[in-house]
Amino acid sequence: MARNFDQGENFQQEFNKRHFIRLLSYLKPYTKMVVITLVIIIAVSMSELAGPVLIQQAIDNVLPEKDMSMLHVIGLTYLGLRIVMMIGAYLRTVLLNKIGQSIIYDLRKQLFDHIQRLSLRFFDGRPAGKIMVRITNDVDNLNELLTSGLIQVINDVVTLLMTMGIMIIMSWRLALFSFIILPVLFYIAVVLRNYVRESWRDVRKKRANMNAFLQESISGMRTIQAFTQEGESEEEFEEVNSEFTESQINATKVSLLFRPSVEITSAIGNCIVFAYGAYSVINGQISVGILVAFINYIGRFWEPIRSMSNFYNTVLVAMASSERVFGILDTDPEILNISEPITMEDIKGKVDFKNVFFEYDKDTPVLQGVSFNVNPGDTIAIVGPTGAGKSTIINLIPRFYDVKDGEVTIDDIDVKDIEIDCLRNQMSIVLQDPLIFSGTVRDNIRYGKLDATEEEIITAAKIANAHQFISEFENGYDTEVQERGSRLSVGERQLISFARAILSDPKILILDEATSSIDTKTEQLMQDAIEKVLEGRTSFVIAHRLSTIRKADRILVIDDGRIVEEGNHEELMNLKGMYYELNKVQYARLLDAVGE
Amino acid sequence: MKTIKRIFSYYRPYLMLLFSAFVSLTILTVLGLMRPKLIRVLIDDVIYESQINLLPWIIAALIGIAVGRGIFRFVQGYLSERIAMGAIKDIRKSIFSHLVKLPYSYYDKARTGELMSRISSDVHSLKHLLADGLLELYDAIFTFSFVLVVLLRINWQLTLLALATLPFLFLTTVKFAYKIRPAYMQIREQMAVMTNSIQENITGVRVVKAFNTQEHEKEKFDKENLSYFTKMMNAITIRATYMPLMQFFGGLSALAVVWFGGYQVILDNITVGELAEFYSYIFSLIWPIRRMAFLVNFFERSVAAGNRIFEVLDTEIELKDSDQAVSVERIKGNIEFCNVTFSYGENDVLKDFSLRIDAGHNIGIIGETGSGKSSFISLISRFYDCQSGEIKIDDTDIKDIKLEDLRRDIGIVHQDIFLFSDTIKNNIAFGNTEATDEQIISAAKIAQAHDFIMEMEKGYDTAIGERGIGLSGGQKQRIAIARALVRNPSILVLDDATSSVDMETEHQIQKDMESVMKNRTTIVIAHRIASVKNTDYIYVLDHGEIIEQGTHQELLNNNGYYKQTFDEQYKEKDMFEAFLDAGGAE
Repeated sequence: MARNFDQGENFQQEFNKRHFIRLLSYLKPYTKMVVITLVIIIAVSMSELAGPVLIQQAIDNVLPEKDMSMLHVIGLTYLGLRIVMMIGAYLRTVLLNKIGQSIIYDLRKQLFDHIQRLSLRFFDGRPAGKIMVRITNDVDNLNELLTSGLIQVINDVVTLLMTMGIMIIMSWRLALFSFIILPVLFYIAVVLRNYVRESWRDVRKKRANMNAFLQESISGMRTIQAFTQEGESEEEFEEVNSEFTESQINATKVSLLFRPSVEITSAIGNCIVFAYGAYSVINGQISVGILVAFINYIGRFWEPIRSMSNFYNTVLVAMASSERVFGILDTDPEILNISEPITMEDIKGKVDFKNVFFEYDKDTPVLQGVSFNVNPGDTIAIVGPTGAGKSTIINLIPRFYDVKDGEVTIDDIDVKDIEIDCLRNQMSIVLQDPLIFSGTVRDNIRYGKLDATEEEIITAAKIANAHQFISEFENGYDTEVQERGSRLSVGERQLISFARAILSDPKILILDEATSSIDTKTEQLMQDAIEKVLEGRTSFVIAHRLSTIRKADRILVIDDGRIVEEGNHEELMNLKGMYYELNKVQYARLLDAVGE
Repeated sequence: MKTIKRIFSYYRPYLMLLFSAFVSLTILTVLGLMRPKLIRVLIDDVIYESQINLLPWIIAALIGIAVGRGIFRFVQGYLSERIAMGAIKDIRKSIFSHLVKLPYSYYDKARTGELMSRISSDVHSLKHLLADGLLELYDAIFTFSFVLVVLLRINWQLTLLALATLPFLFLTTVKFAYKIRPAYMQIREQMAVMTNSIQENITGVRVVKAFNTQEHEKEKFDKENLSYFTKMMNAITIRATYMPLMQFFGGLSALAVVWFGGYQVILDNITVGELAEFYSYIFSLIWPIRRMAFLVNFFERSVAAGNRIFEVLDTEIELKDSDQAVSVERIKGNIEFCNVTFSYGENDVLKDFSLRIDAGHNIGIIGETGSGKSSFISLISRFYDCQSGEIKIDDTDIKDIKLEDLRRDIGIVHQDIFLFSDTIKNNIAFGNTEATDEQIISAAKIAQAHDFIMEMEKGYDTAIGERGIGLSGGQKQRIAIARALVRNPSILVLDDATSSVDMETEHQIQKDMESVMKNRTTIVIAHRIASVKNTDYIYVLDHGEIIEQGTHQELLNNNGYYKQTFDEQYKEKDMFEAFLDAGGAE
């Protein structure tokens, strides 16, 4: 079962200067806030660093002199610093995150809005999950870099430099001795931590494996039990469970080696300072207070170094994310309004294809010179084998794609010149797979006309023969449908989506295999509804039920991207061509099934 | 308390290791607490008294402490990880073993996502409890008591002063822990809502474009996006308020020590070294307080997580082998229902239902959604127990047959097919792990799956499912049929198994199955007449009752529901005949 898949996407990417600068531009609207935040961050760091200085003052000047009033001054200053730190830390957290979350908000909005503009070609063959991750995780990674990453690292560098500065001012000799451990700490932070990170990556992979196995076992538990594979599943689970456990213990071991190395390094650093410091104090070169302050400062070396090395990693992760996010933002929508599009308030419904060529992928032609004319109010049926290009033809009418060559016109105007909103607002499509959004049944129907009144909604549902079963629900139109409409049968979903199409009162109605995956009973309801609706609209019907097709004003037979026959049912039957053959095959099958 | 006890009972196999972990932790802590003493000696004796000869000893001691701590930290960390991971591995194992035994009725109600979160995140929070919870609590109490005694001996007034702010620290921390949890929960929930809205938008892109509702979608998303922002900022504000406050209270203790301690030094009550020692110890007084405040909340959460896990583990397995269950070598395939009544909840799905199918017969069942067709076959495999009546296989009540033996010889193709993310070959062999390649291929051929499988680049080794290629509904059904055939079952059940297969292929499958159906009881459930008309005997079900039965021809003559359905499904026949008569026929 599901296992041993990698995480799917590489987590890290080389540094890309162009992307980095582009990322920085997201900070721009918040420049003022960024500056204020930096000032606060530095102020807080300074207050923190001032503590040991005060103690040094106390030890060296106040205590030997027994200066009571100075002691109080130091006490009060320390209290003041504490209050400054408290307020500063509050402001720092709030401001930093406000910037970060605002950027996340902006980026998500920008991405989502951009995706709304992209053409269908973008979505073809891109799993929804992949696009979703861009808006969720990748955006988070980018923010990580900008706020906690970038701003934090500035804070770290400032803190580290200030600490070193204070130490040098206090005693440059002792400071130089203290700095001996800095390179070692850097080494630990960069090299050893990398090693630690690697071992945790393995843990993540093993955990993903285990979870995938679990998830699949739970959703497939009925199958497992029906095929009496419980024992085998338990064994397999034991295996993934153990693998994960072992990898985690192993990673913990590696991590555990890491902490002591920091601790021992710091201890050695302390000892150097103690040794040289004690010697200097006895020689009168430095004071006891300075020694105490030094010990305090050395303890603060590690944090900024650790988080600086983290920053490098954050950058690499963010680079991979920025590549993907910018990749989407830089995808131009193919289908755009021309500079002065024609608005058509009232489409009559004349549709013409003039020698249309089309391909999804280069050099794999799907339509090869399709021409036909449809008068307003006509019903056109499109038949032909799978992959002949039926759906492609109807996808070109609302201009989901642009033709490669030729022209599609509506009321004698090229669809490319028509304002897209105008065009699509006057059309409706019912697909084979009805899509239901989470929300109430009412919301789902209203989707066809967002400002529809309650009456209009119910009328549409009645026409679609959906009113009956909706009323039978306990909450009627207020029934909440779960994600993807899981509480409704396919048939019910299709009737609701048909009501949605009816509500939008389209001039052109397109039914793409709308009755293909529903049961016989619903199909009758739907068929009945369709007949009511076709009246007075131009409609295109792709179906395999003969009864629907037979009534069409005209039938287009498509094969291999071309119209091979055209006419009404009788004409085509008399032609004894492809349509006749398709019918004959179906009839033979039917006879066979009936047993005659 | 009961839950905590039960959680800790998982320590049992590791008691020796646990004891060692406690010992290591104690040594680790004591070593750490010796450092302030050394600092006092350094300041008071080495520096002020100029006893430079003590310096090498102090340095040696400090490095020794660091090395010793390193060793014991490793030992303690490794042991507690080993124990906790071992314990939760056991927990996960027992959950999984329990899950595979829980009956269908459990999965009718359970939601995968929720179960998953119990097994992954709830078990994970137990891991923290087992690895760190107890040890940390011990460490916090131990450190606090140890330091308190040491400090009281140095200067009791100073100690009391340092303790003064700690109750505030404790209360603030407790309050924080209780406030921040729900705030984070809200963020997670909002994230789920937002993710869902993105997913719907993307999967529904055709509908969005067709109805031209991009603006509406943008508004909808903006609402969720903004709400996420607000909830996030809410949590951050809580953190931003409490964290500095907690630090402030801690800092206040240190301040009190420096201030009042300095005063004491001036009065010559304590030495500078003692003050430095005191000052270093203060943090060992503060962190246990903060730790304990978080632990209060942490223990509570672990108990909640533990309860959720134990709820799964304690779900009774109502459907299992009875004590007198017997093994059956091979089921022959006689099926008998005697006055069976069955319901999932309130309404009876089967009412006083009786029928008998002889081994080797080929039965069709037809009826609308909700007529009880699928329940009927679920009962044969004993996925559910009926409320009253008796179901017999080969004249034995199925409750007296070992479940494994019963199900081993039944092959089902379910209505909604579940295939695993694995290769096609392993999916077909799922029913029979000992199947040879020939058996797999021959089953696939009968199911009309061989040809499309061979057209794939990797043939039978093609991975399908989440990480592999997607199959059409018809292809999935054909693989599921092959999977059932490979089991070589005595009873073969096809529950609407060819609904997504086109008519021609269905016909071919029926033809090829004839040979394998010979020696088996076969039950075909369908709503298409074409699927059942070739069976030996047909039952028509409606609202849990048999309303008509007979052969295809008998039922047609009967002029009842079956005939109506037949006419409806074959009305095109007349249409065809009409125009073929009109000159189309050759």
